[in-house]
Amino acid sequence: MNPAIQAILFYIFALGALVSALGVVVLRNPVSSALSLACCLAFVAAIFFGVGATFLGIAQLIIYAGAILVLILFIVMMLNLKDEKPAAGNWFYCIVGVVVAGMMAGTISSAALRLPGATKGRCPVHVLAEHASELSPVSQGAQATHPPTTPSEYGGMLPPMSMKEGESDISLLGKTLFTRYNMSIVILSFALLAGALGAVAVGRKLCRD
Amino acid sequence: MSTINLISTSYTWEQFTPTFVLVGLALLILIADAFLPRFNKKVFPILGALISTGLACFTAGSSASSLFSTLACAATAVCLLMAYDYRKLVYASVAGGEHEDGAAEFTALPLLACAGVCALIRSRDLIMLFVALETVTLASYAMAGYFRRNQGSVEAGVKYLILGAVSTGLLVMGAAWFFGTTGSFRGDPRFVLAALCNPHLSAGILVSMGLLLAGIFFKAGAVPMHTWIPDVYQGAPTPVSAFLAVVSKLAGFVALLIILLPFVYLRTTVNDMMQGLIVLLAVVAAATLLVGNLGAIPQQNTKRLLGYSSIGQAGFILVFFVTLQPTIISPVFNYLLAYGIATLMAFFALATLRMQRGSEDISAFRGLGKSNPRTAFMITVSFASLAGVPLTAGFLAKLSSFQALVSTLIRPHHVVHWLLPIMIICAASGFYYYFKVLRAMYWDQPQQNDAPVTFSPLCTAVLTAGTLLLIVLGVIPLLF
Repeated sequence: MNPAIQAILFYIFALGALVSALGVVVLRNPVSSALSLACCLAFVAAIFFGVGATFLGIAQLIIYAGAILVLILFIVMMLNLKDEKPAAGNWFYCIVGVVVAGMMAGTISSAALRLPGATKGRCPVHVLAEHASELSPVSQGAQATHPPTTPSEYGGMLPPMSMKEGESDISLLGKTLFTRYNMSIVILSFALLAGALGAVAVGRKLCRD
Repeated sequence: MSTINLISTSYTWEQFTPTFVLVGLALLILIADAFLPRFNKKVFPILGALISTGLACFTAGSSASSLFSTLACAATAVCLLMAYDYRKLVYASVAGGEHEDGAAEFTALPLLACAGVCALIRSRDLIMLFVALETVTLASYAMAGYFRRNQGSVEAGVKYLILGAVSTGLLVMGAAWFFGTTGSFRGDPRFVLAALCNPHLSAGILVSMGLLLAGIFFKAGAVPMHTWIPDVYQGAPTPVSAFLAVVSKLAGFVALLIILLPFVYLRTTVNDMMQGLIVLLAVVAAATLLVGNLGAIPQQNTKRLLGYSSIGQAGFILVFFVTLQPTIISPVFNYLLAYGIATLMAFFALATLRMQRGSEDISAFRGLGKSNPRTAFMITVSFASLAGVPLTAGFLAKLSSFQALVSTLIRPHHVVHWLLPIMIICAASGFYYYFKVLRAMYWDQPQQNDAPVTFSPLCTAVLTAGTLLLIVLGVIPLLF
């Protein structure tokens, strides 16, 4: 794809994601907030498609925008929530909240602006696409063929994907999940078991005495 | 004691044996609960405690991982014994005391949480760390809110869930930044060094460390992420409070060890950044000490007092981390051991008082010195050890914390000049608030209608074993 078109699309989707994320917080009606969240997730999925992470984009759409959001909407409608009343403001908490949020946003954005892609003053997606070939194989980590010896051999920008010819990102993801992170997935199933058991234990019907 | 190996790449199934055994046991208990309605449900917590104790013996060894696993399994076993003692209230919370529903889940959830802790101890990368920590916290949310008829318990569960979700978010965001800047989820010192030396990435890795530390501080109960502790400890069922105070705290500090290890290796290389990290950890430790120890002074509720005490003790443990030495694993374990034994004893005695006197205030200890002199002595030892009275394990643990700060930052580091006085003030204030309980036991007069408290044989046995351990470890310095 033409890099210029790619950059324009990225900015459009990013702006859309930002505006709809703001809508989640600002809108008073819970249903509008939930729909705004759906828009935000869809825009982020579009950005994933733009950088070539097709599977991640589809998963985002199906799982988050599809399943989880429908669940949230169900709950909102089941509880029949009315418009949110503006909370009684306490100036002290308000100021502390603004300061903490501002510090966090400032720190993260200043760190993000220093990243290699950002310093060139261009769209990150553009930079990724243009310089993919000259990036060091840093994502291979310890799997690299020779053990790196100097600090400069580490770090730097990550290549977008290190796919072999004819391999899709789905099979790459599957291989990573079921080889390197296999044990983590086993433990994750225990976390889900604990969550399910906790939900049953806390949500059970109480006998009235 | 060997250090934790960061470079080993893959996990083996054998490393996770305790996790699988505990999860299998939890599943067995749930199946027995569902399909064997006539099965005596009293057996569940005893069975869980027995198997956990067996695992504690099985994992015992000299490596850091096996030591922490042993402590976690043993502490879970004690919490399950406490749940056995506490079963009447568990039944009452679910079915109004008419039948014995709810015992199986109340046993299975701590077992699952302990399985998560055992996996966390073995984790060498951020993915495993996160997944294992989530196993612990998901089980803990449900445990804290288990008594749904009790408003305090429900409030504790909801508060813990919401604040815990925020801290999990911080942790995941930190992990994402860590992967983005180092290209790996493993805390390999070489990757971290490369990112720190790269002018484009050094800010990114610092952000990642800040977020990771904030997430872990929540679990370990360090200021400024400590606000949940007093409320949750007070509201949660007493065995759960004990579990959170000991096993969950242990998980937090093990996670902190794993996160900080690359920096321990790098402490001499990138000196200015490491100095910044040392000052950051020192500020957090000082704030934790002050908030925990000064906040405990006005408390009247014993569980709340123990909550603030756990914050204060976390401050003393954080002092080890300030030194950023590779040798901290063993003193951190010893401190957690001394703190864990004394805290479990205090909660065990409190659970009995809660059932028989219906109150968790410090005044519930009134007159125990006259009516139950032997038990009162054992409770005295436990609180004396928490305060750090000589000849108990707690004294040597606190001493090692002071010693670590003074001896390892060899050149008179400016941190020593202000952290040491704060530690002294906080250790002294501990004597005041822990001894409020002792004053209630020995000096307060029992009320007219007070019946003498009968401590169950189980409670007496656990208290005796704990007292012996605390005194033996305090008199014969095997560990310190």
